[in-house]
Amino acid sequence: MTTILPLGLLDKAISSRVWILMKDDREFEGTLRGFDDFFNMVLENVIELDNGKKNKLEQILLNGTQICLIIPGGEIS
Amino acid sequence: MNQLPKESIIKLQSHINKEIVIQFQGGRQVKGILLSFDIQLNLVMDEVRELPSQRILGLVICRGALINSFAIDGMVEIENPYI
Repeated sequence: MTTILPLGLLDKAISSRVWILMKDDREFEGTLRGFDDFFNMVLENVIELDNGKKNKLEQILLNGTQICLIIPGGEIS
Repeated sequence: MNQLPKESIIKLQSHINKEIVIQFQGGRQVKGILLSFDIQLNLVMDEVRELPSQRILGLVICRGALINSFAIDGMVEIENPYI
């Protein structure tokens, strides 16, 4: 049975929605367009949750150094 | 100076399919089943719940760069020994 590696799972999530939890209390949910070795990510149609405030962003480059958890197919809940 | 072997000192293979609790920089804590890992300590975990809220996250990728520690076989809260 093949095990899937973290970067492999992230690759599979390209073009679908991902939910990202940052190191601090912020969350992002968007369509994953791509990523690099440092987990910097390009997301589209993004909802940012910051201290309870929601912001909509069309396209962002999210800095990988602050990314803590990535949930493929997830939604802000 | 002897070259140290390029092998990780952390042997995660034995914890695959077991439940672990991960603490991250910034204070986040999650509990879940370890499915896989890579050389940078990025993890794939399943049935993940965030602690202490018990919020269900499901199948998750954890960034190794932000992991502070992991606990296997659970943790028990004790009285603060430093007071």
